[in-house]
Amino acid sequence: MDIGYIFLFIAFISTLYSTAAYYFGIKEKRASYLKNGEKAIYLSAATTLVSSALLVYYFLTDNFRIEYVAYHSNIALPAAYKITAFWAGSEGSLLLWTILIMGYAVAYVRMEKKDLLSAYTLLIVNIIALFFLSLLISIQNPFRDLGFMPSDGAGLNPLLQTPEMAAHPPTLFLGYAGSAIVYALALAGVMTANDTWVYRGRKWIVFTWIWLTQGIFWGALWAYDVLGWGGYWAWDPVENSSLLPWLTLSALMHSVMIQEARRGMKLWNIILAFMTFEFVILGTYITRSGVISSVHAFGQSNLTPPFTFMLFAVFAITLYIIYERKDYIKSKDIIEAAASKEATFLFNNLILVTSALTVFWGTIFPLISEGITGYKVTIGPPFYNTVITPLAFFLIILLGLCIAFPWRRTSGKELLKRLRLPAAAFVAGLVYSIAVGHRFEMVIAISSFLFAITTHLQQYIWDTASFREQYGNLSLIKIVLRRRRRYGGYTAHLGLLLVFIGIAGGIYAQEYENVRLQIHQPANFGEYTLIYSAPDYEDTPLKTTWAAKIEIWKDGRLLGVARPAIEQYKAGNGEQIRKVYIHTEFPKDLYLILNGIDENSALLTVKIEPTVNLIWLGSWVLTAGGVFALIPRRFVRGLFEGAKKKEEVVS
Amino acid sequence: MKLKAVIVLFLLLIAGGKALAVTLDDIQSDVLCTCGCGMILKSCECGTAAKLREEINQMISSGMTKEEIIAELQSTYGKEILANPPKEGVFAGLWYYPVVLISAGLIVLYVILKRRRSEWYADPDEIINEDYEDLELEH
Repeated sequence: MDIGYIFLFIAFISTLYSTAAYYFGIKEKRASYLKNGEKAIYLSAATTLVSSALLVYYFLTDNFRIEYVAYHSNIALPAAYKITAFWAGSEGSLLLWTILIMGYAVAYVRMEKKDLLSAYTLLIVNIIALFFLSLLISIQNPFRDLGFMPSDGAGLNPLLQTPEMAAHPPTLFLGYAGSAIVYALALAGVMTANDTWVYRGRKWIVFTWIWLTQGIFWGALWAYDVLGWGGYWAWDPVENSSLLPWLTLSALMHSVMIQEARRGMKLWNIILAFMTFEFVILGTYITRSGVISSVHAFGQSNLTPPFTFMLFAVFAITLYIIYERKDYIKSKDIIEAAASKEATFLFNNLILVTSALTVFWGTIFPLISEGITGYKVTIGPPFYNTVITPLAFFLIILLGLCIAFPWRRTSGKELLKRLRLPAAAFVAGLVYSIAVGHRFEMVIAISSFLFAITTHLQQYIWDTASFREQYGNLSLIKIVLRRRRRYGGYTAHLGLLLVFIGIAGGIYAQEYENVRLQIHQPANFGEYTLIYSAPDYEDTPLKTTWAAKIEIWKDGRLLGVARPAIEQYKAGNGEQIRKVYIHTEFPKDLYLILNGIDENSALLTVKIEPTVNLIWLGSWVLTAGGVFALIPRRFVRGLFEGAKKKEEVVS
Repeated sequence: MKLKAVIVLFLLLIAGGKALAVTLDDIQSDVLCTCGCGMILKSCECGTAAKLREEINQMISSGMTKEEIIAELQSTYGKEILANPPKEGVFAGLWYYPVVLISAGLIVLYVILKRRRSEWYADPDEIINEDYEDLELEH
């Protein structure tokens, strides 16, 4: 038995003990039990960490006796990718999930008040950790011994040997594991009938949301840079499963504000937290089980029974708690006027949740169709594009409206004042984009974008003027920091607007052509001239590469020499991949895919992605908005002394 | 009058968007490559995809409509080639579901928006500046 496995087993026992300690501590109101449960969390985290470190060590030292290492690494693999091979397979990624949950549990213990709400939260987190640990010590043991030492391993899939894939799983799993805390807090809040959970939960919600955003971003960037098909999102089941929790968590991030302001939406918020976590479990399951065909899945596995059990158990427990606490979560009015921020939040929740449930429906529909007709239908991008596009346009308009509408209520006259300029921007967008000949969808996209961004800019200007009046000489930065939640939100909106217009440009204004370039013969593509100058062949112990050297010219100026390539790897199944070449002129990319090559000609797919870099920029702005909203109060408390004095003077 | 002008402009935009001849792009987003990669034809760059594109281009040249081309491809390669199921039988459920969902959601919102006896506790933008333990909460 490997020592790594022994540490995992200790973590399992320790978590089991912690669960029991919290359960009996709550039941018998014994603080000492809770204290022991807390200590056991530290022990579980430490032993899981040691176990993970041992697995990394086995990768770095080429210990191919360990089956997982033998399947996902080889001697020639660069050291950095030997570390990232940790999460290349099902067992390692479940271990990553577990260590992150344990990390969250330790962070929660250290950061939050020790009260009944925390005790319930940690009890639930422990139960979730137990599920993953029980998989790791049984059917998903990453330390399984082969019984002999192979001379070399099978190697890591070359598509995973990229910086993007080094970043994608850890960031996404930080989001996935964070959703466990959000769900546990929400459930604990309802169990203890304690509204405090929304205040305590908001930083965990935002933190989780930041990592889900980053995870999706790195996944999309990987698809674009590495997969070599010229896109970043294919509505594949695995991609969808990372989007689902992001959508419901975004809805929750808004609806908890209504609970803060109105003490309503209690049932809805627990449902959103539940949906987020359930989608995370579903996503983990889809990726690892092979139950739905996907280009990303790990393949068939034995995970269907435990994950099906987990999905139903989470559903049943949530339903039971809701039933038990029906008096606490009973419906409460939350609206004073239809023209209010609260109302726009309701519509935003409707769109986000409808989008999530529709994507979920499209993702599982192949299973439904197989069950009913025996035919496993494929749900491709046209379905999602048809359904999600109008919802996305509506969401962007709402993004503008929710800034224009204040909390509580507003008068018709005030509303007219707030919407005058954005409406003018919308019309200007319509006129401009029709004049330049954009297609219908792009016209609507540009106009909606301008409407929403104008409401934001207008609000910034008005706020600046009002702050000057209210706070006198206090600097704008300090004022913005004081309202960091609001401006974090606004910044995230700007990021989403950039992502939106970036995606719209890719769908509606992309140019692409399959061309055969004859050697030394210029060929025009859009504003670029491409010249195939020479073939390039390279053979190393790792791979064989066929590349084409292609000069890129624009306005008589040489912009660079591209080298798109086809690479044939020698390890494993001898996988062949396309190394695309991307020439960036912000916000657009010239994207070259090599499809075939000989001495006299090169067969290429040439694409111009007009706005793709706005998606990457927008993702960072989204993240920055989240980070800004998360700045802890104690970091900025001292900055507001001036503001307080001024407020006192004013009052 | 203004409303009429807006409606006419909107209809013109829709008409402008639709009055185009069928192109390879229109078709290859709706069918899958037959090499087994699971990608839509537009995204696949293999030899099978190139051959299929040639086949579609020939059908476009012969004046076939989008529906006719997709029907022809379906009869040759089976319904597995469709990137989307047909809007009929069991598969209609796929398409009607989002409509049912949003309609139900709108009805719920209508009911919520009609009830206006809510209480105001605090501005969520400002709560971040308070210690939540100090707030008066319902228990």
